[in-house]
Amino acid sequence: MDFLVALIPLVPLLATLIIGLGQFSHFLDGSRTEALTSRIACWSVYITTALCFWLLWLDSNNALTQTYTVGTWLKSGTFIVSLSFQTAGPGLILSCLFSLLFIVIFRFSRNYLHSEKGFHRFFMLLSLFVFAMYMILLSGNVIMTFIGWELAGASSFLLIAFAWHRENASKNACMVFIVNRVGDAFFILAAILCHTWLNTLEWPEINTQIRTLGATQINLIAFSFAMAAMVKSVQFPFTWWLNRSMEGPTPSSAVFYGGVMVHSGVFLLILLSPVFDHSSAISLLLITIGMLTFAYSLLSAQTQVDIKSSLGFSTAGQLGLMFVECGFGLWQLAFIHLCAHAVVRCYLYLTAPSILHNVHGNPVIPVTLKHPLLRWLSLASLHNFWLEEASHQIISKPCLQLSRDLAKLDDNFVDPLIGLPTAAVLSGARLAQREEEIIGARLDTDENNFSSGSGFAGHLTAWVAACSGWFEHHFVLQGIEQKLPSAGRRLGFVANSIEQLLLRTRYLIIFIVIVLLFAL
Amino acid sequence: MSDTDSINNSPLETVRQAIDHLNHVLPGQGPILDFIHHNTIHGFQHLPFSQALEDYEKLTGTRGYMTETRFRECFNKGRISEKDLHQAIDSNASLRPGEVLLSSDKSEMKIENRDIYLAALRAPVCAISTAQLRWQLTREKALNEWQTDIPADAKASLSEGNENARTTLPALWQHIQSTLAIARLDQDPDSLSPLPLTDSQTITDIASSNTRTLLAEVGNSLSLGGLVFSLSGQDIRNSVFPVMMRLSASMLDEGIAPWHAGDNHYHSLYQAWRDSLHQDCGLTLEALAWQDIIAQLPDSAEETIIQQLEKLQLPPAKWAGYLQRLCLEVPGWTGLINWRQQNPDYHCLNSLQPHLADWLAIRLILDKLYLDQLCRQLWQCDGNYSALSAHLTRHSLECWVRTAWQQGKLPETLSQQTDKLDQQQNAEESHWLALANSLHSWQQNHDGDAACTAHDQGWKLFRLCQHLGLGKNALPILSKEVLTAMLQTLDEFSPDIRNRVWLLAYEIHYRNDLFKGIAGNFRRGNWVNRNKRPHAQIVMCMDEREESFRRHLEELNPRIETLGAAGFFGIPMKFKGLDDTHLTSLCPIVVTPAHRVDEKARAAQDQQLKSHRKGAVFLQRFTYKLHQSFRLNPLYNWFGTFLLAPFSLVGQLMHSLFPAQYKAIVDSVRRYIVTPVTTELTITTDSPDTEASTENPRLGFTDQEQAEKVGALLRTLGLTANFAPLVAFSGHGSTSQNNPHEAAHDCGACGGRQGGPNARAYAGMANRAEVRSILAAGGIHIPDDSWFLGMQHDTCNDSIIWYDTDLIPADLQDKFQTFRKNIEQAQEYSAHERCRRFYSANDPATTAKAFQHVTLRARDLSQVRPEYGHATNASAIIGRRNISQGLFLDRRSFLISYDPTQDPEGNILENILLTAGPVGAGINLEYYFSTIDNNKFGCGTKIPHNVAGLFGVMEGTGSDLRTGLPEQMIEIHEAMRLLVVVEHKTSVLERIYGDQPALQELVGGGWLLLATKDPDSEAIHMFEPDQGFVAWQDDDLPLPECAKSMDCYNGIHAPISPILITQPEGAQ
Repeated sequence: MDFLVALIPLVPLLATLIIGLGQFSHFLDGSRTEALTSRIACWSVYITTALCFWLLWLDSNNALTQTYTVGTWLKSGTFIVSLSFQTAGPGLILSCLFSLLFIVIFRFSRNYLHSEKGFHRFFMLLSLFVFAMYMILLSGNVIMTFIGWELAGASSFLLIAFAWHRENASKNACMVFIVNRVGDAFFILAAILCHTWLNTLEWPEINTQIRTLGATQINLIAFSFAMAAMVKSVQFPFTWWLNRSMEGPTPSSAVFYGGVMVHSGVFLLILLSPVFDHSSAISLLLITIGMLTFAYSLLSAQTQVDIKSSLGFSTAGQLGLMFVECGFGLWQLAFIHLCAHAVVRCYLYLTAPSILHNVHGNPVIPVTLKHPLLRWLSLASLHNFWLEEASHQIISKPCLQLSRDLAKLDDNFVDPLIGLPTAAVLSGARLAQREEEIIGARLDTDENNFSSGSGFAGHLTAWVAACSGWFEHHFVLQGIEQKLPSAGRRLGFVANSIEQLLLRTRYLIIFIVIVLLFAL
Repeated sequence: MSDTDSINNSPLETVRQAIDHLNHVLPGQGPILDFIHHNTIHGFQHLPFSQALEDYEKLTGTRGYMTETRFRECFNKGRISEKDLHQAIDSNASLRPGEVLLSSDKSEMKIENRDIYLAALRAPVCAISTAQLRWQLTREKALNEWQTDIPADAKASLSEGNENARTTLPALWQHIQSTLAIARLDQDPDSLSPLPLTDSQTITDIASSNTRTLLAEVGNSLSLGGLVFSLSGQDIRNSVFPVMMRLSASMLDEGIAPWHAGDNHYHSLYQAWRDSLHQDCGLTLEALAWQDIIAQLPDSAEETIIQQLEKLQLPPAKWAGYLQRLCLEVPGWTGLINWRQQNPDYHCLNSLQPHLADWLAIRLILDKLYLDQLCRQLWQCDGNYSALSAHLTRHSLECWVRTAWQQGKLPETLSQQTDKLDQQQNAEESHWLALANSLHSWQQNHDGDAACTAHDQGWKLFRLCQHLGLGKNALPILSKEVLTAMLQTLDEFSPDIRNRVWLLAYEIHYRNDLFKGIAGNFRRGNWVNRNKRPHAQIVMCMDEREESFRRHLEELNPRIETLGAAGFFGIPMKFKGLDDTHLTSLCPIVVTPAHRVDEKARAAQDQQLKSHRKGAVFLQRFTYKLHQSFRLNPLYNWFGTFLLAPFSLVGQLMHSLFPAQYKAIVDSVRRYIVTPVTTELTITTDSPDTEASTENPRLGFTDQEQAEKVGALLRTLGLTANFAPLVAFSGHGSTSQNNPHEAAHDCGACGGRQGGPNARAYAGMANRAEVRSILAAGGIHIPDDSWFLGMQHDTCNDSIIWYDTDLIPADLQDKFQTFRKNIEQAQEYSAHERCRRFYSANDPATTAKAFQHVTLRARDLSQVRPEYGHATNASAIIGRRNISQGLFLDRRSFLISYDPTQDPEGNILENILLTAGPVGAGINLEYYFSTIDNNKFGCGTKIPHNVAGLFGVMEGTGSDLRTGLPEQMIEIHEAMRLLVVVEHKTSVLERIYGDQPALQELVGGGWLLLATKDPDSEAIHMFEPDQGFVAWQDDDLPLPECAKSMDCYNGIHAPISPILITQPEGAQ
């Protein structure tokens, strides 16, 4: 009966496709078909819930083999990716729990999103997210989990930008998406390391074979996975993205940042508990990061005035505690904590708009801060410890400058070298052409078009002719016009500025990283 | 404020006056828990309606009418008819609707101005771009097929004599082009039209005039940050607003966060901020040069504003405008700060008193810091007005290109080149000149400067002729003069006039139906002669939501009489409920109560009270832990999570899958924890000798005061005789889940609160023998067998709370039980009628099912439309019940009881108009504005709303505070002005109008429409501000009639015009 597990992600995927196609063909459009869309989405969740619990029941009766492989997806030398699933362990239990939360959220969204323009889109994206989540929870190998990991990120991006016409929403969606890519990079790195050193991508095998590796290797693998988990589970110093993500509809905030998605980092740690058990250094890191996140969220929450930010920091604090629990090897506790927290947080997010009436006449007692340090803390907390500004200065600005430098390199060296016309010239052609027409130039006459041919040989000849023509024009003719020496001088300048550029910190760092990567 | 004022004043005066003036411009909405409906553009109310809308649009760029597309939708749905448009056009004499433009004896063809107006209203007849014209001519086959939106009669006249589109249209197009000497433009303009080579002087002139206009806008529609943004696309406000927002939120917080910006040392946000500036790492991180300015900052915010404005080197004439612009960039936050500044007594959590000056001072300092940084980086100049204007004047070509670039007016080719130049620092002037040259050439090619162009005048006429049915036959008479005259008429019919005509037509449609109903209902219905004693009387709030309830109740038992009054029943009081911690004022916001009323446990209820208190405290602590400690104390959260998770999971699933059972369980658990206790109100004072004052409200009323209040309302209602055995007073409120805007559904006459206690207090007073004897002395004899009863109607779930039913005398118990049964039925019927508007109710088959639906709807966490509030309100009827009884009014009319026969002079009426007028207009205008542009006047969809500090909502975690009504509240509303129909003689109203400036402002300014219904005849007069009362003409078409309310609405989801309801035989 293990094959049931493959159906679990399949059902929401089908729902996504049906709703997507329905929208594409304008069959599902407007409020007339709302009931149909929500019914498709809800039923897909009911079915998966039934499947999950069936599987759990079978598992508790020991009727399962723990893994199920559909087949091989990719095979290239030693690199094998199979379509494998796990039918036991924390993934299955969480699938059951989350499926119940999905039922709540999907039913909640029917009324909540009624007559919104993006009603159908919302259900499509939420179904896509459900698919992604089951992939994370149930898949048997790194690559398939990664697919889920990425799709969860993508659907979160699309739902934050649900009201894309609001500038804030789309901007924050991009920001969250980009921060999440940091974690993804480490996830890929971890996958590569696993494949190179362990020769496998299957979770169970990674967990069993990890002890065959040396300490540094274990630490590196553990570190990469830990980084991936840290970003996804909003640990310090990435915590601030959670605040940015509250732009979407309330139910999607509840399921992504309260109930389900933010927990996938902790789940990854739990999934890889043997790896972390073998790496005390990274366990220590988890504890440190967890404590830092805990402290940071605790302090930041004290000044948050809007309910969603406040809940966000509270969520981050609990996730920090889960990291600490994981770091101490209290895997069971961390897992139960995860389950309990997902449920309660989901409820708190869904009732967030009620806060006005829930705490009316019951306000928080304000604290007077006398000590200068406390006052500084309060200021820092109000500005979320300037974490965002700091990462802007330390990471985004250099990256932006780097991209500008690269663009310059592209425009000034690579494009002329390869001979591609720059985009502006291409599109400006029409205007230029018109001006030339007025001046009286004839560009498209036969005499200008002196070299042409047909077929391969013809084109080749034309191309060679053009090349030699270009060479002659640029070097021979211009050289004679004394331009060659000045060109040489310019080359010198360029070389100088390149040297200067390379001495800047951002390039030094890149060099160090490259050297390190090669050394490993 | 004019410029000369600010020059003559001292700088401090200028700044103070500017800040005071902001009160008129910023949204006037207070904290959301006290949501009071008010005119969204209250600061413009002293102007006539259309003038105010025009001025407001100039200031904010937001139009005060629905878009024409939406008006056309209403037209197509039949909510506006052609007749209404005719009437609306004809009522505007300055349009000269009857002027004949073209007439031909041969074909009986006659075109008047009116026809052109109608055509322009029914379908857009406007200029398009050259590219669109090309598209129309080539792809949309505009020369082969009739325009798709022409009306049937025009099509018929076009097709006369076997003409078809293929032959007519090219001829028509040709004719228009040749008659008006329009250059042919049916081919690619990019490839054909010659490109003028412009001398650089022309371009420089254009560019410098552009710079001048741009600079003139600073302090008007632009802040300096906005100016730089409009040129570079880099917005310092993205850095400044988050900081400002956190500071304002922290200052305004009412109970979400324990730590606040500044603490008890400070009373001004500015000072708290200034003293913490040296600790602010953010400024250092952003590499701003803040150290220099910190030492020079003055102590007071106002002085800082002056200092910073001087640093920005803005001319003093621009100061007021500049400060106004800064605030209008974030109207939500500044509006609330302003509200708090205007209401200094509002309770607050920390010691900071919100002041706009503080906000402005901080904003100006931060703006300056970021501006300096950005301007140095962009143009190597300082970030102040004179440096910027000098730089931009010197580089006016660059400025011109940049403006067009940021406005998205550049073709892609040029925009990419500008991108490049923008990236280069120190781009040479010659590059900008080249770009400016190309831009000018391109503009010349696209817009041209000929007097008549094909895409503008040509296309307009082409469409107009088709819409008027002017086909091939008409070509000979379409001379140049005729065509020019047609164009002129069309152009004079500007968008502004069109909007006014549309709105008027929309209102006329509703008005005619209503007047017809009222006229047709004359001398019908139960209460034409009030000579039979009713079984019961019920006085409800004038609220239009109670209209259906009253109608159903009267249909269920024709011997019940219903009345309407402002829902605080004339008893302004500060009220403290049994479990309340605060006093709340239950009265209209303009009144400050001088009396206090407490809810107390009755004697011999000590035991019950004790356990009630215990339960209430437990519940309060529990919610505090769950909703406050959980967020703030992670360790608490950690333990709590484990404990709560199982219950929470089951609860969520139950709530989602079995809502009815879940509700039953939750209700019984709540009852178990907080046991009920019998209470009473302290309406009678123990110390009648102490003075009752607004500063020191006295607990309870004296006998004399009670009798005055009771008597006053009875006289207003006209209920001075013929009392029923049971006289019920029903306040109202609304309870819903997950709805920050809940208070907007409560009773406006009770200051956005629930009005039950007022009803209860009123009934309690009127039952006292002492009060009755004083009343009798004043001429109102309440018989001894009449009992007054208080109750509260929940407009969301249609439930009823009954007060003090155990005090009803035993001999009235039977009558009470019958009455109660009637009410219970009316609840279900009212719910059923409301369900026709709810999508998810799915047209319930029985009234019981409908009632079940609204009960669960109110408890549904996911329901963003628990009820529709005042949506669809359109009229107010002030008069006896027999005007409206027997009419189906579709919950659109405020019903205010008033008996003109008892008030021949109109003194009572004057009072009613002065209180109900502004309240009704406030509600109506808030709905009007939120409906016409929900994103600008309203607060957009509820979906991404995030509650901030218990005082408002914002979108996500970093937007402006959103004021006004959410989309979900107004989606069924029809945006029109409130029509007040008063039952009295026109002469009385003319007298009142002449005496009351407040009414002159509202009615004369066109914010409220006024009509009279003659008490003795069917005559109805409409008040026109410039003409006085004008008699309304009935069209003599029959009025539909239905047997009962349910037949009027069953299965219909759209608005319904008034319908007569058949009255039972012998009702009179």
